[in-house]
Amino acid sequence: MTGLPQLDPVIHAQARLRVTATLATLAEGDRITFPRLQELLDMTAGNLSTHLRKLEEAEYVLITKAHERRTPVTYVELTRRGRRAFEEYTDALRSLLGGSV
Amino acid sequence: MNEIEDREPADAAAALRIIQTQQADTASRIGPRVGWFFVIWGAVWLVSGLLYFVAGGSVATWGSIAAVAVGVASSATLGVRSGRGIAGGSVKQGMLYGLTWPAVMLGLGAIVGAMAGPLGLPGEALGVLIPALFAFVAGALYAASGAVWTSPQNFATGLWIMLAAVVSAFVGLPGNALVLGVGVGGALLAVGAWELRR
Repeated sequence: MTGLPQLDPVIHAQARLRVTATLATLAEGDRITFPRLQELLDMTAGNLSTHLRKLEEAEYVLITKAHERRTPVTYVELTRRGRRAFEEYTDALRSLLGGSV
Repeated sequence: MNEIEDREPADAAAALRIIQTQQADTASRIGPRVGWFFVIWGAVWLVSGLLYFVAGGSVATWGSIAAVAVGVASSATLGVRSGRGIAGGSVKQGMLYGLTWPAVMLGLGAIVGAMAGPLGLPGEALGVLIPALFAFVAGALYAASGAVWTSPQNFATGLWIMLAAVVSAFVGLPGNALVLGVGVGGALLAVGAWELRR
């Protein structure tokens, strides 16, 4: 018997789980603007920033700032490490559920 | 909201549900609704085909031009809107593929325009050759998109359209318009409706 898998505490919170799941839906290497991400998640800017900071500290997301037509744009993307963590997290969920899903 | 959302999901099943709901919602909102492209161009082919079969003459010509113009405008709007707020490889890939269509069709139109006179073909032959060429090239582009985006359905639709184009060339006037209108337009409408219902 092996023990139950540990769930990554960075991802295992409702808001960050939704953020990570949304970013993981983008194709690898794609990035999304902060306002568009906010719109997809229906979260306040402050709330989203707080959770992104935690994900950034864990190096799960990369936040870059660019200028497009002289307007500053903030892009968010999942890092390779973040994508792997999300995959491991969903694998862990599935094995907790006994591989029934 | 912050406090509630910072809580852990109730259990593993709840967590998995959050992931599935969020990903399905995101996918439907960020990706281009491919089904609409099929519906738009299915309608264009069907309207043009029926106009040429039933009315012919300048009514069919101007009606088709109007239908194509509506198709181009609505496809461009759909394409531009779908990638809103997203940047990266897949968006660039979609944009370049989208631009291939007008480039190919305008180029083909130019070749046909340049060669129609020098070839000395009678109007009847051109009336069969030109629409068959456009349909065949469109079919090839659909098939290529199926190969690139691993969509057997797009690939099969592309092959079907190429087949309809070949058949239309053998059928000749005026049946070729019906073959293309119903064969190409009908297939695109059916695939589009199915895609949008998913």
